Amino acid sequence: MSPDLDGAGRAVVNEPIADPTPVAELERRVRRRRVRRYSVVSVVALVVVVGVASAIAAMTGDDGRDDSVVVTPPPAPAGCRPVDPEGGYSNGWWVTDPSTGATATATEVWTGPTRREIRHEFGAPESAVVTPETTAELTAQAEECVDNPPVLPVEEWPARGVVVRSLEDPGVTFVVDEFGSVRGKAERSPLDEIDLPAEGGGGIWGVDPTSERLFRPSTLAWQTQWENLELPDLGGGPWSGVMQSPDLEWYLAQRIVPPDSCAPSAFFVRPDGSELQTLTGQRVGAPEEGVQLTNAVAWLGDNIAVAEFEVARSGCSVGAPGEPGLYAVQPGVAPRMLFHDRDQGGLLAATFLRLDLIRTTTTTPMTGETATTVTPHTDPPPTSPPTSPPTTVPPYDEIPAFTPVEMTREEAGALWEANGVAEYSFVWQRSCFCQPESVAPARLVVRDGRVVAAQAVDPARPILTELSEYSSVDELFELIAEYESNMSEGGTMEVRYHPHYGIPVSFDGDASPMIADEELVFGVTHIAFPR
Amino acid sequence: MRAPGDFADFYGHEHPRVLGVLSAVSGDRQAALEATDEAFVRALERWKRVSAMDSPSGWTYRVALNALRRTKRRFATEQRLLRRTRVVDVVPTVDPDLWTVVRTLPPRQCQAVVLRYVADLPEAQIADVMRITRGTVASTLADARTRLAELLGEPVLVEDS
Repeated sequence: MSPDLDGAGRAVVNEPIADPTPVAELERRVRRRRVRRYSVVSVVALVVVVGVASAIAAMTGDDGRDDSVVVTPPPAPAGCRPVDPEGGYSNGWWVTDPSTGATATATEVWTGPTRREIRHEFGAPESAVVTPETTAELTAQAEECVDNPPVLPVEEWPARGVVVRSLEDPGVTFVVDEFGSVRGKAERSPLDEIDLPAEGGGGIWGVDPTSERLFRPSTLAWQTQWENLELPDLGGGPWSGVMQSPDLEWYLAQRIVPPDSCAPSAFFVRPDGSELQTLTGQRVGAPEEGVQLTNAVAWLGDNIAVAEFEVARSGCSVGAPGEPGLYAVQPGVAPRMLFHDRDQGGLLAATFLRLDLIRTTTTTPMTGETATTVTPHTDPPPTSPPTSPPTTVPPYDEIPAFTPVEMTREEAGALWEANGVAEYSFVWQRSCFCQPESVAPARLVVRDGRVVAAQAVDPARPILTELSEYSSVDELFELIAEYESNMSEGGTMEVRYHPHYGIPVSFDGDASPMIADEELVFGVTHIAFPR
Repeated sequence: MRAPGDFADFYGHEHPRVLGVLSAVSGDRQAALEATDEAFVRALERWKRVSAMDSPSGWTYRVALNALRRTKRRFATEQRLLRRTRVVDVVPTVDPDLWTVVRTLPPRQCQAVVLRYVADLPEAQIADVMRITRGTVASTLADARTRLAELLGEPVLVEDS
């Protein structure tokens, strides 16, 4: 029978792949964005007064750190207090109204991988006169605490735990203890200081209790010699890395699985390769084998590791534990949820140890005597402690005027590399059929190949606040290469570069004349380097 | 914050269509769900302005398709930079073979077909969403149907042909 497009189209609409997200959840997301936008606008307004030049310094700092306006956490509602956890993942908060003694509680409850509910409780003394407005306001405040908990000072961080944030919503970095209780948010996101492309989020990180920074202690270095290990060939995908447990008994091993595979992707394996099991504690090849994609994060301590379980794929049966999020995993033990991936878009996480709180007990074999020692914190943090934003004009100089030239991407790339520029700034503007924020000119600051700050050139034209929307020069070369490889017959591309630095300063491409919205036009101007 | 009453009505009516369009265009369940939510969050955020437009649904489709493009780009970046092992969660649809073939069409033809037959939009509104002329929509749809018939080896039934 011939295919019926009308019927097939109606069927797609009549049998949707998922129910709509509740309007209340959409409202919550709007609220969160407004709070964050307000925070960003405040900072930008302040720096505009100081001047464009000092704004760059204010956003980037002068100490080599990756501060960024867009990850400044919004203020949490006043008076959020944690609900006592009952064990396992817990994110519940209560607030009180001092004038009436009324309290409202909001607790995040997951009834399915995508079914998030906020359960409310409300109570007041019998003598209290509580208006519906007070009830609604208190309830909303408690609910806000769930998504945006109060800042937890680093000295109050637990001894072991995880810092985690959603890739979808990078506004708040949560501090979660080893039992899965959300204890608060980090004042500044230590995750920003991890060089993700180079190191991934894995490995055990120490917390510097004085500066709230993560650093990698030499005593807890990541295993790097994994290529020499004899890992079993499971077929269907290569191994991509391993991390050895602190007691050296196991490796947490990660492999890359192909898109059509229902096989798990992270495992526990003995150093000699003699034993291999999934993170859900099953033998490899067992019929009940879990099928959720797993990303190894790091060891947390003892024999407990942390891994992210992604959303289960369709076409594969859903394996335990079923819900996406961070889990504490242990050989032979069922996974325990630490944090739910509420946005379903993936998480960025690193485990931490408060070295000043970690105590090690040793026993002398001959005498049986035990001694407890506190591991000293000897490794220096990777960067200097935070300092006040500079108030002087930052040492950036715009390069002299130049005439853009045509050359090959390879020639330009070689020039750029030969100049070895690690820090620079430029004004980026693109042209497209897209939202106004996408085409507004933005001054970008790049350090070590990553865009670390973006600021609107024209305060009346707001820009995109996600730094991932912008590209460094290195990423522009990647973008051009990708565009080049996707060119179809009749496509055009015109690129001009800086004659000395090789920076692509203008790009006008139409990958396919037959397809609308494939055009890409951008310009790079006002290039500046540190003085 | 309380959403205007008619947003809920709009959302209830349009959600399955927008989600259906993104599912059919992308074949990626997660990307479709994410981009659909993004489009409606934006619509809710600007509801006063959006609801006053000639075609709030047209605006939402355009935002949703742009969001889908960004979402897929982000997934690609994450896969490259974070070494994540994300794989496409294929949308389970009725007539999966037909939609798989539709997705092999050039992007403009694919979008036009899906907006026409899943969203049930008239050509004028498709033109508005895709920012092309109505004449181009008509010729694109005709080309798409011809190509589909070639790919499927049999004529494609449509009510307006």
